[in-house]
Amino acid sequence: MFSETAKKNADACRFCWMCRHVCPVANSTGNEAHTPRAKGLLTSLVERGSDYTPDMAEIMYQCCLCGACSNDCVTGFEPPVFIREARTHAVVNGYVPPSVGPLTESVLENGNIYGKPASEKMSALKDVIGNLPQRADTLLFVGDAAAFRSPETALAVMGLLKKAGANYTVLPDEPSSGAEIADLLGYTEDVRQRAFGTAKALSDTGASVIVTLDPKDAEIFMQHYPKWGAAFSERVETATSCIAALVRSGKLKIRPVQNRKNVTYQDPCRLARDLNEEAPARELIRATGMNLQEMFLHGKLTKCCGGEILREYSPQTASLIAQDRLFDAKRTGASAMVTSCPGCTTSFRKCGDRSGELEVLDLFCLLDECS
Amino acid sequence: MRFVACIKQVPQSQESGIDSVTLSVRREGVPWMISPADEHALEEALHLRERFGGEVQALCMGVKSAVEMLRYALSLGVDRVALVSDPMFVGSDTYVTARVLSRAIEKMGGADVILCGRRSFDGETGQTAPQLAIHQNMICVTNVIRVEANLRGSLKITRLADEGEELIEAEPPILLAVCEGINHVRLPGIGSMRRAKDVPVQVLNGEILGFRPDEVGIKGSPTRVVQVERVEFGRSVRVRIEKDARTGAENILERVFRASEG
Ligand SMILES: Cc1cc2nc3c(=O)[nH]c(=O)nc-3n(C[C@@H](O)[C@H](O)[C@H](O)COP(=O)(O)OP(=O)(O)OC[C@H]3O[C@@H](n4cnc5c(N)ncnc54)[C@H](O)[C@@H]3O)c2cc1C
Ligand code: SF4
Repeated sequence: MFSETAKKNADACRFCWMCRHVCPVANSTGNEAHTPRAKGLLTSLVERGSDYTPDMAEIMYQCCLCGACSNDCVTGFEPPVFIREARTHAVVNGYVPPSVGPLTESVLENGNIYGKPASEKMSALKDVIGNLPQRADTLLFVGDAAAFRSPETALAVMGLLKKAGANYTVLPDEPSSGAEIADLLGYTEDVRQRAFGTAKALSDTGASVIVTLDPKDAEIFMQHYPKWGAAFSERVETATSCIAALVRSGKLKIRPVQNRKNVTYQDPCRLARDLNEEAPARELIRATGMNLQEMFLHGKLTKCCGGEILREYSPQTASLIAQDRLFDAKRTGASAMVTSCPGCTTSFRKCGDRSGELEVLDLFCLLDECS
Repeated sequence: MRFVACIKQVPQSQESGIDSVTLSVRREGVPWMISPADEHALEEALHLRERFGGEVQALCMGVKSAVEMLRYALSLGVDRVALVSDPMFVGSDTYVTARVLSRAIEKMGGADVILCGRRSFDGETGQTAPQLAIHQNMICVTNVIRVEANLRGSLKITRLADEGEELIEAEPPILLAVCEGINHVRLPGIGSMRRAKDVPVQVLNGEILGFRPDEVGIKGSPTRVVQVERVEFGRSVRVRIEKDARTGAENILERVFRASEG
């Protein structure tokens, strides 16, 4: 049932304990079945003849695909490989947990996990988009999470690009990158077909640079589209590195804030681990004059915020994960946590942190205020 | 149109080695994959079906565990699959392999276009496809890097030749042995995986295909592998040139010329 690569990974992970302490899900729920090792053991049981059951499928969805386990593995094994495939088999066999079902249905029908028709995706941004040129050198790819859950982040990035005098545009009917679908269904032909459509829509704009607001989209564009043959010739850049370059070149001026605070920064998993990007966001935070205090486990070692997808179907677990991370943030003595990913911003704001001690600052909104 | 893709199951790594007794590639209990060129052959078959309509079948001669690989082919959208498997086929050389595959194709209803890889990842002789074309009385085009179809049913085929590319126009029945990289291979799709669950893997043994044990396998194969040698690549002389790049390059060229002269 599983691919040879998945089997190889599962067989290596099933008796290894080395990464269980970094799994944000298992750490928050305290459930041994949620560790990467347990998921490997279940996969190997199925490979050795046990039936794949709905209970197993349920466990395979208790993961935010943050990649902390892969990053921690000194022998290079990757639990997300078999976890993603287990999700594909859950969909094929009709074992998708009831809480996840509406999301997979929405994804197959609308292309997004938020249960909204694709036509509504850009509605919060349409006034600004209406004033943009149809073709431009730079295309800002907003992504589903920002469009549906934190449009203010997208508006802030647009504001920054405008202030820097960038010739940019945004697709009024922006398609999904497929990143969320790939997390829910695994890397299947359905995701690849979507990638072809999106790659074509991006190419048709004639832009030479695609700036992605969401690290998830940047990761799928850079690391999966080319190998699927859904390549486009445009250069893909993350919003953090694009804005940092504009500041460095002097095109965008940032005024230090009046009220200097101690802040900490949450590295988004895909940005730090998959795309190896840590410096630009820090550079931007320093430009605002804020004093940066690093958290326990930052950079590539970052801890997940819970993720916007897990939040949609397991809000309690996602909240526990986010609160755990906010606890790390508070321990630095910072009064605010800066986020640079729409998923992280939403996760921390929605996790119901009762103390109210820590403010969650969206990096782009902060920069917009300082420019 | 009937498309048949011949896909061979091969060990994932060349490291799995050669069996010291039988001198053949070890196949049981090692992680497998579809021979890389064959994955592209299968993709090309699916691609041609999209343009011409018809049916794609995947065929493999191999050990029983190759059923898994054929199931994978079904999850990519192949219509039917068959595994040719029988202990009597063990040790078949390319001559016998091609004969057996040819008879299996007849058993499955024949083919208009057969797609093979240009060579397998393990045996690597590149002989099976041309021999299969002879048995099937088909035109054979090897080293294919591009196939364009027109609606009248003829194919424009580009193949790699020793010096440049050749453009060939031909009509089925035809066998194409394709290069890796001719296309981007698809991933299993949810719909195809659901459909694949109900498609049986047909198993064809020697008896079904009408072979006597002495016609196939080691007994029926004219090839004898007498010895397999492991060649170790080592450097006997190591020279370190610590100058600028240009002087270094000139120095290397001089040494190469000197060595080739004598
Ligand atoms: C070290 C060694 C040396 C050998 N030397 C010789 C030799 O000199 N002469 C000789 O005749 N045989 C030889 N063989 C034998 C033999 O085992 C071949 O590997 C086998 O017959 C298939 O040929 P191939 O792997 O070279 O395939 P190739 O001819 O390289 O394969 C071309 C294509 O044919 C198709 N194909 C091949 N085999 C299958 C299959 N089983 N099922 C489905 N499709 C398939 C695939 O599409 C493949 O891409 C040798 C084997 C070894 C291990
Ligand atoms: S990817 Fe993250 S959440 Fe999933 S098993 Fe690994 S560490 Fe746990």
